[in-house]
Amino acid sequence: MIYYENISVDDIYGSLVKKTVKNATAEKVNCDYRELFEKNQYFYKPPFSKEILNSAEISSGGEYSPENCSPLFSVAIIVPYRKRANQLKAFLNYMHNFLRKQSIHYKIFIVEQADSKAFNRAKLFNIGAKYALKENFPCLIMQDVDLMPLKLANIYVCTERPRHMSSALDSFRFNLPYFGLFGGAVAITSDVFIHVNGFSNMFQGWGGEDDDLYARLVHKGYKIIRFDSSVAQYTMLSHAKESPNPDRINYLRSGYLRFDTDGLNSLVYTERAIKPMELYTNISVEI
Amino acid sequence: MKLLSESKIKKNKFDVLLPLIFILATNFIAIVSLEFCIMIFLVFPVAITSFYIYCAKKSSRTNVFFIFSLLSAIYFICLFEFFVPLLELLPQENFVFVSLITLTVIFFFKTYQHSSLNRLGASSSTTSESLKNNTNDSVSVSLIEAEEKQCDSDEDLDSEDKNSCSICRKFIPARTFHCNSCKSCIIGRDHHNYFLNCCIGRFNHKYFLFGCISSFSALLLFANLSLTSICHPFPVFKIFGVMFLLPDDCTDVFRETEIALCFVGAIYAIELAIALFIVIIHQFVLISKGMTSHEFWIHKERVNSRKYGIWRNWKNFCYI
Repeated sequence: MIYYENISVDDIYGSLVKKTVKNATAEKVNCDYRELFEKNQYFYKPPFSKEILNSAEISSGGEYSPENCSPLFSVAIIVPYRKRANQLKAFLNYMHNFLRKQSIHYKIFIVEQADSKAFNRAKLFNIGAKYALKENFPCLIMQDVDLMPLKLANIYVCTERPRHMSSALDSFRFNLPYFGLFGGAVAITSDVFIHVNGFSNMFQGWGGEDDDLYARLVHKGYKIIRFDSSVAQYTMLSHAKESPNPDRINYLRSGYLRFDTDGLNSLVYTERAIKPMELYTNISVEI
Repeated sequence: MKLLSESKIKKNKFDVLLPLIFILATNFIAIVSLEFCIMIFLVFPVAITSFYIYCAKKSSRTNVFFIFSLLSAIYFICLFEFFVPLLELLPQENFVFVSLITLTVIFFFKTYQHSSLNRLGASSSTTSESLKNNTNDSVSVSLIEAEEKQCDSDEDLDSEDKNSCSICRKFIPARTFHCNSCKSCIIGRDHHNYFLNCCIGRFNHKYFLFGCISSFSALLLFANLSLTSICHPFPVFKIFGVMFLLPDDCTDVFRETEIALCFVGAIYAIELAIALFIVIIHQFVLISKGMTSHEFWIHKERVNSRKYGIWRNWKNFCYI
């Protein structure tokens, strides 16, 4: 584990990008976020992933905006998914309970790979980002379905610099294994994501795509940031490990050749269905 | 003459090979599955203990246990540095582990080094082996004698009778007992330790205890670090900015050979730590009572001297 540049709890609020989707009403008082960072409480308790509290607050498509104040932040949460129904249920229950405590405007997009090819996490992120960008979300958070944030102060909002959110993951003993790790859960403003041309679409199977995104960010001169390890704590749900793609190192090495040609601008896929579900928007695609 | 040297070489080879094969075989069989692992580590302590008792009864001078402890230490270091996923560990944690191992080696080496001081008359027979010069040696012996004599006079014992060794055929200071393995009388004999290949007595007793404590902590640290990095950990508490983790979900550890080796190594370490824990507790109780293990097993009480309080007993133990 190495030391990494981080934002301490007290400085988090100042570092956030305050932008919302335009239709947010301006009549109400702005939401107050300071309490989150002053307390820095643990949120994780087993019941929160078992049942959902006040599900009537959440509008169809998995969107939520605080009712008694106007939020300063809008965020699209994009989650790639295939055939892990139990985990998806736990994730949605937990995240809706967790995110509503943060008084932000958010919408959850579940991008489902409907074919039987190797799982392409990066491409699913690109597809999800495309739909989120259509709805003018200023901030994209890309997260795996098996990760759950533990601290309420870990606000699901973009910072100026691209942020690696899951830097203190329990299955890594809450340490960061290497500096260039940019997988798990990341927060990127839409402008930056478009500027780096999104993820590469070439990485099939497990591994490599997050390192490639990191290389893209570095190539365009962006420096990543993380929250302090007391805030950025995550727990990983247990599941069988996927077999890594043997070609991932080669793709990674030659990645810089495709930074401008392979990504958001070369996205080819077949749309199966877009369904607003009770707790999320389901984007089902064949890649 | 030739025959003798050949048999000696054969014996040495056997001493090294037996523990090596034993350690590798047990660990590599245990990585097959959980059932194998449980079975091996149930048999393991029974096998070691019965062989130890067998050797102790025969009073043989075997190197097998010494090589076994040496190889185990090397095995743990290799396992930790090459197989445990080091990326998940802090450099500080690695440093602490290596320091504990180093401390253990230093303490046990000192135990071995100072063991020659315990031998009664060692200065005259094996001058080259003895650590310090003759004067120093005899001074310490006479010091003990002075102390013990004081005690004897207090209790008015007929020292003639008790303070002589029937095997060595000479007078000995109080609380000195003959060791059949060392073939000599040992001052303040605690026990003959086959794992260190020396007798634990008056002058190396504290190094032995310190060695036990540091090796115990090294083993526990190894077990904790490797289990939390290969299993799913959860935080228990935070102290001085360091999070204390414990594993809660170790499924799938037998899927990959390297991970399984770490897991089995950790179980092995825990087992050794339990054994050491029993030794440490036993030593603590006996030292508080001012007894040695020899007195505890053979005489059931402190021999030939007055009983003191716990504080005085520990003071005596530490200032030798």
